[in-house]
Amino acid sequence: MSDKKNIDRLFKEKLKDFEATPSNSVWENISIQLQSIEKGKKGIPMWWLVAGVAAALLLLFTISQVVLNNNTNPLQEIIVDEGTIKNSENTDLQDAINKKNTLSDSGGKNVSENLKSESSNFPSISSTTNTGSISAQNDNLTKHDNENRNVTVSNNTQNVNRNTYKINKNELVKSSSEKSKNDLTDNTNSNLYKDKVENNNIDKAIIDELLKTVNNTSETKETYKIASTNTNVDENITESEESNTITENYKLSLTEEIAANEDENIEDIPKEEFDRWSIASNIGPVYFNSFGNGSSIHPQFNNNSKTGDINMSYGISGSYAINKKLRVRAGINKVNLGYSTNNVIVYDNIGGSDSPGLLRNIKLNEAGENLSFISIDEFNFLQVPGILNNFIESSIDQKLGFIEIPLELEYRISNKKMGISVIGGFSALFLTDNEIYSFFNGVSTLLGEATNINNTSFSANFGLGFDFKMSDKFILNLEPIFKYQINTFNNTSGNFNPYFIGIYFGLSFKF
Amino acid sequence: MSLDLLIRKCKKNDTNAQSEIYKLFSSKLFAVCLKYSRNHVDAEDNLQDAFVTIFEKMSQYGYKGSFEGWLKRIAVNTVLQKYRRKGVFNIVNEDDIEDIVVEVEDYDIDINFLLQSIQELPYRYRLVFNLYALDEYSHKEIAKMLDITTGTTKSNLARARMILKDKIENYYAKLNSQSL
Repeated sequence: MSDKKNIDRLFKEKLKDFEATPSNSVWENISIQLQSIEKGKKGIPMWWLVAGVAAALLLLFTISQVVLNNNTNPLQEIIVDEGTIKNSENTDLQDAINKKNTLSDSGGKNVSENLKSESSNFPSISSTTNTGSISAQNDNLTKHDNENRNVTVSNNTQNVNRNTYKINKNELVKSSSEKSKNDLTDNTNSNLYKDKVENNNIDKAIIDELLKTVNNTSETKETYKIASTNTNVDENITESEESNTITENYKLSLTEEIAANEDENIEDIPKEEFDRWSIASNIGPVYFNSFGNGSSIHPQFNNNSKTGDINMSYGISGSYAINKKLRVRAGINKVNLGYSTNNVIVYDNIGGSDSPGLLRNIKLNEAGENLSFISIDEFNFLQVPGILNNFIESSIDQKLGFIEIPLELEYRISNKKMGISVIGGFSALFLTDNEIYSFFNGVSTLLGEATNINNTSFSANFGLGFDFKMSDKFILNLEPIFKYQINTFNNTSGNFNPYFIGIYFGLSFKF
Repeated sequence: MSLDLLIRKCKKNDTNAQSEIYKLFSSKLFAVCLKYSRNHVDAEDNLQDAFVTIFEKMSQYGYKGSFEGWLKRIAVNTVLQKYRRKGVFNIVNEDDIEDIVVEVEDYDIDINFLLQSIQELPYRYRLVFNLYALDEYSHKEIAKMLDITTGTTKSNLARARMILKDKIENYYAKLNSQSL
């Protein structure tokens, strides 16, 4: 049973027929990598990333604009493109077309759905590619009704800004872009419209009718990208060259995709199965502070140093994978935040009701009603009224608790054993705890509550996610996320821009 | 579906065919990766990279030699490429040792133990031992692959054998003490 054997031979013989099954996640990762390589060949991911980041920024910007300044309606900022749009009717018109287009999309095949989902993932596409114009020719319009069968689109590549889309009976308008012409002029193809309407003298009714006829052309599947909410058309004008490039790339890649779809009929390929749902619990330290000099309590503390507290946040979340790269997730977290305003003198101000030390944003309780607070900076040159029985250099500590409902998108940029994602989104914050403490008479005493904190506020979130697969089902997460609070405080002074940073640890389960 | 057809479809980036090829060969290639890597996690990473390379280079497969052999070569190359990227590890005491014959007893030895023993070898010893003893490359070929001299491959091999011998002897010793 035992004889001496050459060690090489021993290993070779024993391991000759050795086989082992890798975990399922390996194939999952391979197919994701292959997908992105495929797409990489078509030149999409590079600008997807750029567009994704731009979209996130735009989203944040829009939210903050809407929330911070209700008077400014970004929709009103639609800028006329070099005079091609001359009457205010256009806004309505574009809205109408948009709605129509959305409706006409719904019947589309896989192709148009793909296109749509891409554009909905990255809203900036519609806003940055919105540089052309649709010219609906008035005289043609009045003549044509449901008989219209041809929707022709011409792309003037030399001046994409002023693409004209002509809708007339049977005439194909020549296009300098062979590729797009071939695809777009064919009724069975999916057409991509990405432009504005040039409309000087067509009334809305005619356009509506026209759109009906377009929709009635049943074989035609269109994805219109006419953004009515384009807040940065004027930027586009200055950057028109750049956006033209983007438009061109996008168009090319789309036409390639359309062509590919036609060739291989992607619908027939069954989708790779993977776990779309996951639930996760998370816990982590959060650090609260604010940008800029300012105070949520009183202007006299604007220049006082502030110390952010480190508290805990914990919660659960659920997510759904739209595809292998993109997840949308929502959850509920309890989050405690706090910060201290330092260098404050606290003193007993018996009977002095109109003292300068009263704080306008704080409602004091019994323990605190006789106290006054003053910044140490002001103390030097201010006559303190009343009897200064007892004063202490202290701090005002504000403690806040929120229930946070985050809604975020997670985009995976690496799919190895260790995955990396970019996370962006926003949270709604509901106030649950609101307390002001100060260190007084030797102990930290609850003095009251702040009166200038909104019960509901928001934050814009941006962060990174790192995950490590423990098994096919369980994943460990580490997510440093920055959350910029948008309207948590009213009536602040100086530049009080609060934010918090959380380092969330979590365990998620996919199913 | 025949293998040839699968390969042809793979060359056209057919996802189903790729999945089939993976199912057919992943356990064999994973065994290769396990032998060449230092642990299970690295082996999975290497397997993943190997298959991505395989599908990317599928069009270059010219039906010369066995398909499985081609796949294995890519898997081994994937590991070696990482080794090269990490640079040559200077293993202390690289004096040339002449090729020695190491013999061990062959009881009913656990295959997982053997695998683990290989994985625990220092990086280059593991590669050299795998390439020479298990995959029958010559010292000359190995030296070229790893960008070292044949003297070094020989001494690495000898050291790998010594380490493995120690491990096996310890293993038997433990086994004996347990059974006593």
